[in-house]
Order: sequence, then C-alpha cells, then structure tokens
Amino acid sequence: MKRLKNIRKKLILYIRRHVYKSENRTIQMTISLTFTVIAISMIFALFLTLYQLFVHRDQNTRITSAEQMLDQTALNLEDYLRNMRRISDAIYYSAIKDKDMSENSVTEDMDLLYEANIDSLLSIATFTKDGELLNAVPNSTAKDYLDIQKQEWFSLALKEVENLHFSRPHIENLFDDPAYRYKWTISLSRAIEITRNKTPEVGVLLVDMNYSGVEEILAKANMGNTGEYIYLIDGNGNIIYHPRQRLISSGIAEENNAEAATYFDGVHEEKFNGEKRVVVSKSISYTGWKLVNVIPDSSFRLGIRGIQLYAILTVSVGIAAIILLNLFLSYVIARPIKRLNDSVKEWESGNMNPKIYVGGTIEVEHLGRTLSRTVRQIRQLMDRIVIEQEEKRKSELDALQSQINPHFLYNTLESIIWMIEGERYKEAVYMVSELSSLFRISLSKGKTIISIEDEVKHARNYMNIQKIRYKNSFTVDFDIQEEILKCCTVKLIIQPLLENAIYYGVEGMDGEGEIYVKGYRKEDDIYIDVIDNGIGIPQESAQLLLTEDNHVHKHGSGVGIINVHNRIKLRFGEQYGLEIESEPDEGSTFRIHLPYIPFDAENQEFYEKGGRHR
Amino acid sequence: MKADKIFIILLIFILAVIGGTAAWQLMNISASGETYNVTVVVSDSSSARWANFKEGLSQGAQDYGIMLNMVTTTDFTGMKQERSLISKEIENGADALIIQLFSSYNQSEYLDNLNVDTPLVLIESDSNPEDVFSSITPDNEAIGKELGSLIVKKADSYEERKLKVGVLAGNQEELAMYQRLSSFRDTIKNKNVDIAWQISGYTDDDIEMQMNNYQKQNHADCVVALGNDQLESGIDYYVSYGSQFKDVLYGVGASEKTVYYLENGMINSLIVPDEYTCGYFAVKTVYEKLTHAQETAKNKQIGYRVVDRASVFSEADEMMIFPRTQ
Repeated sequence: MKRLKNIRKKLILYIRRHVYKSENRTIQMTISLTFTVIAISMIFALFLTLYQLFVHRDQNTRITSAEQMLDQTALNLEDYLRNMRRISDAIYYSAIKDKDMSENSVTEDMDLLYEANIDSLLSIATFTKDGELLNAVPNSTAKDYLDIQKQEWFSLALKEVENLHFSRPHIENLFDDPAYRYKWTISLSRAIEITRNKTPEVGVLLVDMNYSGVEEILAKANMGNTGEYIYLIDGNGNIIYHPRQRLISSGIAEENNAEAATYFDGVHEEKFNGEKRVVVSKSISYTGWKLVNVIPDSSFRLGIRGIQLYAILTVSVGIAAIILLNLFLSYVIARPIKRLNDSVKEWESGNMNPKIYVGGTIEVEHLGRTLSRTVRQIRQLMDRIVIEQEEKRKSELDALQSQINPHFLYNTLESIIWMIEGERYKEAVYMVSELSSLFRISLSKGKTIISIEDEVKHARNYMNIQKIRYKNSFTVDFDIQEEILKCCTVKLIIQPLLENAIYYGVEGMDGEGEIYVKGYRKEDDIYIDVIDNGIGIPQESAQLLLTEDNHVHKHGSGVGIINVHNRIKLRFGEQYGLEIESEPDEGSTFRIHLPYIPFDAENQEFYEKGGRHR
Repeated sequence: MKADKIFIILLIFILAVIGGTAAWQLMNISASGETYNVTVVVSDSSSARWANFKEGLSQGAQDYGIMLNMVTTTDFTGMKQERSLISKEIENGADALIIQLFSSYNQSEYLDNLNVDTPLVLIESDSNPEDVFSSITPDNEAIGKELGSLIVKKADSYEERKLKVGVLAGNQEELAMYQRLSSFRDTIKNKNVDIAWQISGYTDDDIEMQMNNYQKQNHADCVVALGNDQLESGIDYYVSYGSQFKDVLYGVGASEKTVYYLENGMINSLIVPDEYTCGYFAVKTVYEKLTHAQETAKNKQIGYRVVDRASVFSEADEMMIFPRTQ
C-alpha cells in the first residue's frame, strides 16, 4: 500500500513537472487540456467497456457455435457408427446366428451385406475362438503368418463378450492383396455364437470399417480456416482422428489429447504450450470416444482483428478530432480573455491610454468595460492629481508671492510709515496687526484647509488694510452665518474676490462703492457671496473669467479668480467652485460654493491629504 | 506555450500514425492475403513412393497458405530435361521451387542464378558442394551405414564363404545415392561381404535384364537397393522367378509394393525415410524464404525407420509408412 502511494506520488510529480506546468499554463491550454483529458478518458472508458463486452459476446457466440458444430459432428459420427453396429447386428443375427456353418454357407449373406455397404466397409470376417478364419468377404485369403489371437480387436471381443468393440485406426492387414493395397480401417469386433456341426461355440465377428468414413465426417467439420479444429480420441486419450495427426506422430506438432480425455462433456479452458484455449468436449455414445473442439485464443483474436483495427482507427481519429475541436473551442473562449489580458499588459507597460478590449462573453465584456472605466478614472485621477499638484504649487507660489508681493507690502508698509511719520501711531499699530493677522492666516502653518471663520478673518484683515489705503472709498460689510463659521474651506478664496471687487468693481466710485460679503448655508452647501455694486462685467466675459488663465493682477495680491475656482473644485469636487453673476453698471456677485463640512481635525486632515468630498 | 504547441502537434502526429497504420492493416485484412505459387519438380511424380511426400506437401500447403503445383513427370533422363521443366514453371509464375535434383554435380552456377529470383529447396539430395542451398534430406550416409550393418549381420551366418551382395546403386549423379553407396561400401569393407555386382543408372527399364545377366555371371546371395525404384526393380526381378524367395532384398523403400514384399518375406528389412516430414518441411522452408521470415534451419535432416515384418504394422511404423490419403 505504501509502495503504491509512493508510486502514485512520483507519477503525479512527474506529470506536473513535465506535462502540466501550471505556472506557465494559459487559459486556452488549460481549457483545451482539461476537455481533452476528460473526453479521451471517457472515450477510452467507453471503448474498453464496449470492447470487453463485444469480445466476451463474440467469445460466447463462438463457443456456442463450436458446441453446435460439435453436437452436429457427434450426431453424424454416431449415425455412422450406429450404422456400422447395425451392419454387424444384421450380419450376426441374419446371417450367422442359429445357422450351422458346417451345413450352410454364410458367405453369400455376408457378401450381400458387404456389397450393400461397400463404401463403408473393407471386409467382414468370422473367426473361431482359436483365431481360425471361417468366412470372409470380399477377400478370403488370409495372411498365413498372422497370429489372429494376438490381434487386439480379437482378444478384446472375447474378453468383453457383451459389447461391440471399436478399435483404433490401423492398417487392415488380415488379407492378402496382390494389388499392394493397404487401407486404414477401424475394426468393429464382437463375440458371437457360431454353430458348427450342431455344436455352438464362441467366435468373433469382425467388420473392418473404412476409416475414410470417419475421416470424411471429421474433415468436413474441420473445413474452416479460423484456427479452430475438432479431433477425436478414444477413452484412453489416443488420437483416432486429428487434422494434424501425422505431424503429431512425427513430433512436429503436439496436442493435449491426454488431458482432454479427462474432461467431462462441456466447455473447458486450458493452457497448452503457452497458449490459452477454449475446449469443448463431447462423448460419443457406446464407443467411449470423445470429440474435442479446440478454439485457440488466436482464433478469437483473428475473428475480432478487423473490429480491433476499426476501433483503433475510430478512437485515433476521434481523439485527434476532439483535440482539434477543443483547441478551437478553447481558443474561441479564451481569445477575448487574452485580448483583455493584452490590453492590461499594454497598460502595465506604461501606456496610460491603452485601448481596452471590450467584447467576448458577457462576463468578459463586463470585465473589459469595468477595466476601461477604471483606466479612465485612474487617468482622470492622475490628471486631477497633476492639476491639483500644479494648482497647489501655483497657489502656494501665488500665496507665497502674494504674501511677499512687494506692491501690496510696499504700499501697506508705506502706509504704515506714513502713519508713523504722521504720528498716527494707533492707526499704524492697527495696520501692522491687521497685516500680521493677514500673513498668519495666509500661512496657516502651511495648511490648505482652514475654517471659514479664519478665511473670513483673513478677508476682514485684507479689507481693513485696503480701506485705510483707499481712504474708505468703499464700504465692506460681512454677513456670515454663525453655523458656517466652523466649516471647512480652502484658504485664500474670499480675499481674491474682494481684491477683484475693489479693482474691477468699486475703485473709482468716489465713496459710493459697496462690497458685501455674505455667507450662508443651504442644506448641505455653503455659499459665500462677494457682492459689489461696481461697473460690472458682461456675462460672457464673466464666464470667461472662470475658463481663461488669468495672469496675476499687478495690483492685487496675486491670486487669480480662476485659481480660486480651480482650487475649490480640486479640493471639493466639480460641482463646487465659483459662480459669477454680473451686469454691466449694476455690479457683480462672485459666489463661492462649498460643501458643508464641519471643521475638525479629522476633516482637516482628510481634505489636506486630498480626500474627495462625496 | 511553445512547449504546449509542440506537445499537441506531436500527439496529433502520433495519433495520425496509429490511425494510418490501423487503416492500412484494415485494408490488408479485407484484401485477400498473398498466396504464393510453389512448384514441385520430382522424378516420376506419379510413383507410389511419393505418396507420403505428397501428403506432407499438402499439409504444409494448408498450414502456410501455399498454392502447390506438382509437375507431372516421368523418370528424368538428364539435367537438361529437368532444367527445361523448371524454366517453364518459372515462366508460368512459380514463386518458389521444391526440386529433386537429377544430378547434384556442377549445378552451383545454375542453382545460384535460379535462387536469386526464385527461392528453392532441394529434397532427397543436396547439391555438391553441400550446405549451399536449403535442402531437406535424410541422413544418407547413415542410411548407407544402416544397410551395410544389416548385410554384415546377415554375413555373420555365412561361415564358409563370404556373403555376395548385388547393389542396385541407382543414379549416382544424385548425391544421396552416392552417399548411401559410399557409406554402405565403407561399412562392409573388410567384412565377410563381397560385392558381386553393381548396377548404377537413372532408368529402371533395363535393370531386370542387367540383374539377370549379372546374376548369371556372379550370383549374389542378396541384393541391396539404395532407393525405392531400385528396390521395386529388385522385387520385379525376383517375382519373375517366383515368390519363394525370402530375405533376398534389403533397401530403401517407401511404396506399398515394397511393404507388401516386406510382409511376404522377400524383403528382409526396409529403410523408410520420413517422406511426410520431408514434404512438410520443404513447404515450410520455402514459405520462410518467400516471407523473409527467420528460417528455422537451412538444411534439415529427416529421420528414417528400419522396418521389418514384425514391426511394419506397429503403431509408430504404420503412421510413417502408410499415407492417410487413399
């Protein structure tokens, strides 16, 4: 058992290593191989089953046929032998018994019977118990040197007086034939009662049958050329007839006759000279003889050779067809997957805009479509990241620049100097503190996400500085809802709008300029409107403000409208950003649209790291 | 991947070979198997001495699927006659030949040329030199020696003079006859035997007359015949003088006539070659040559039996002597 397990293990290992290298196997090959193995296994299983069934059935048919042939041959032989016995009976009871041989000649009667059966008989003769020839037909000249009493047929007849005895085939050598004819015969002998000179005595009646009679019956039964043959043996196994008798006698061929003599009537299996054989035996009544029909194994194979070849041909063609069909089917099934895989490989190799294959079965098509969408989304994300990074860089640069914009700073510092020189110290301190607060919030320790409260404060700082600088030539009003103050926003988004409102809106309005900053919540959205009553912008131009790349305004802090719009969108999503409403001569409203996101450490970190608002 | 493709191509190729082989064999099964025509050329083909040989040929033909053609001949008078017959048979489509050579000598070149296209097997007598061509023969030297021994044994009863023996030597151009005679002579050399006369020749027509003459000149006590035809000639000689002669003949015989006179006492002992086996193996050897199968033996010696009156109807002797086909 352990040994079997080891062998099995080694076999599986071998197959895995040399036939089924799973690490390099494609889907097509796997499908193809699996289907092929299954199909071939089923074909073989079916083939073997049917073949075994056929062979078994064929064998049974052949054996049945052999039995029938044997039965028929036995019938014919028994008929023949019965006929011989009848002749013997006829001679004895009609011609010899109750007749005194010294007074009546029995030769004429014997001759009549002989002539009537001349084809079957060689001679008929009667002998005394001492071996003296009494009568004989057709030839009455006995060979003088022969000792009849030593002849087996003679001694057996006298030994077993009740029976008729059939001898083995031998050459008839009782009577002299000047024509030098020697014939094979089977002697039928029996003890008889003869009467001579009114004295009954025991004698022997001999009927020499022509061996060719038996030979003909058996030769007919052996006319096939399938290797099957029939032979006849006596009770001791001695061959009476065999199609290859002389070869056996010469030692060239062999037969298992000795063992066959021990078989009961019926079908037997034997092995002789290394070959398996089926043997059917049947006894011949009265004689003790046995007919044996031998069907060698090669004979069975001969009969089914054609079937075997046809089966091999069919199976070979079938398996080849299955392999090709499986290859084709697996190709058809696997091709879309392969194409999809190729698309992935293309993507893997660095092509960020691969043509993703969408096709094949529903599942593959779905995969392709999903993958295509994923690729697109990744691309967009990457683009967005790039833009974001760029915007961040720009805005940081801008913020930095705005933070150190010399013009704003110069002007503000000049104002402070002017104030100090003018001994307006309180105003100077105020300016410095407002400027300090402005820069503090601008930096916000490097953070991009701050609270709206801080953003509004930044805006107030800016406006406070600008109001002083512009000598209060405009008014600004902040109306921010309390509930939105603690919400998240991107820094430096209100100030640019206020700057825009100053330079494009109310500058030059001689004190009548009004800027109104209103912050409010609408459901999950926050709006911060920067409204001015300035000269306004045509609506078309207003929309362009959000699409063209506005370069840094030389008067302002340096952060453009488009920058604000993009930064909001990048941070919170496409649906957020700036909206502009403006009518010439009526003023403009720059609306900041943000999501309502409470400002806390968690949200700040989330949006700082680029988390997208959902 | 490439390995997979190679594997599949290889597999399909193997299947194609298997299928193709099966198809080819199937076609060959349907078509009738090739049957070879084998011609048998022996001297005096209708002689009763060939009865057992013919039975052996017939059995061999049946076993090996051979079409046999035994050419009807009378006694050969010379090699020219035999060669002419052989040529005719080859023209008629003989695939192989089984030949009893009239003359064993100076045939090498002729047989060589013959053997190239038409495989041949020699029976009864090999050619000279021996063992060049396939032959199925009895041990002729042993036969000659056996005859010699029988004569020497008979000569033991001759105290006052040597036993005189007449020899019917047959066709001494046949190596078989030559060998039998040589070994017979060697066996009786320096024994109480004298060869009174010897008749050699290839026709039996005038042997009786020659015997008559020789017997008058130098009467032989018994006659040794080296072949069946010679033995039958001896029988005819003695029968012409009556049937009272006993134990006057010794010889090689296979016909029923020789058995008859063995039975009646005229022939003391008969040496009977196993002609049946000779015929069977001749066909078998020819078949092996035709099918290029491995030959079981190039030259095969067949057995013989020494038969006398007492043993002629024993089971073993009967089977060898008497043909079944009657």
